[in-house]
Amino acid sequence: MTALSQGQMFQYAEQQALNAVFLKAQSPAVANTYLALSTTAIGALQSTEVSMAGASINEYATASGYARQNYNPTAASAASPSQLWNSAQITWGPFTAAPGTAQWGIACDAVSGTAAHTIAAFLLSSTRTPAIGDSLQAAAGTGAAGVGFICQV
Amino acid sequence: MSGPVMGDRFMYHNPDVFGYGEQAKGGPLTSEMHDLDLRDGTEVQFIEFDADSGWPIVEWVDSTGLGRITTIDPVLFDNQFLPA
Repeated sequence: MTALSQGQMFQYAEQQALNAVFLKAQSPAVANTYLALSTTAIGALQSTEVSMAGASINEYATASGYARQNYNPTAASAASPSQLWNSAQITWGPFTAAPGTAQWGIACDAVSGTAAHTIAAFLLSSTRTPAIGDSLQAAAGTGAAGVGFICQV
Repeated sequence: MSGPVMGDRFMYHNPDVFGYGEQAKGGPLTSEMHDLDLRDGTEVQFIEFDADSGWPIVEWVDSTGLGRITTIDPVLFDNQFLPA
């Protein structure tokens, strides 16, 4: 079963994390990570995707005002399970073409391009279908369940 | 003439219409969307050309103080985003 659930890491991130904590490989340098929006149906997003080129990713088209936003996560919490989340509100748009219905947020490691590595997927609490001229806003995380985009190990 | 490079700054100039989203819609936005729009006179910073669509990607700060990243129609970028 490879379908993703909320806040779950993709295969690429799982490998990166394990190789780092078991000292098998150097972690990548500190850099921004980004949050994309996906129209993939619930239950159809595959955890085995390693890049934004994956067939089950279905990111919003960029010829619409849409662009990936800075995820800007907190540091991982000193707790077990450890978590991190977006530290500020995240707003996409304004949209200049109707981009479809967003089902997921997907964290990745580049601001554009399908070569970006997939990190984690977040199921939106409710779907969103922005109209032309709209912006789409998500709340900042607080650490509380259901608020913001929380990733847990 | 060479194109923009990362870090170049531009000013969105569209005095006839309040903002970029309103221009796309062709009419007024709701008050909430109005506040979140990329408005006339906003300074933006060029990041890169989108790897898929080729549209310019710019970073800017909205009226709520939140950092935003938006792709811009290339024709509008050439005509309405003036070097700052």
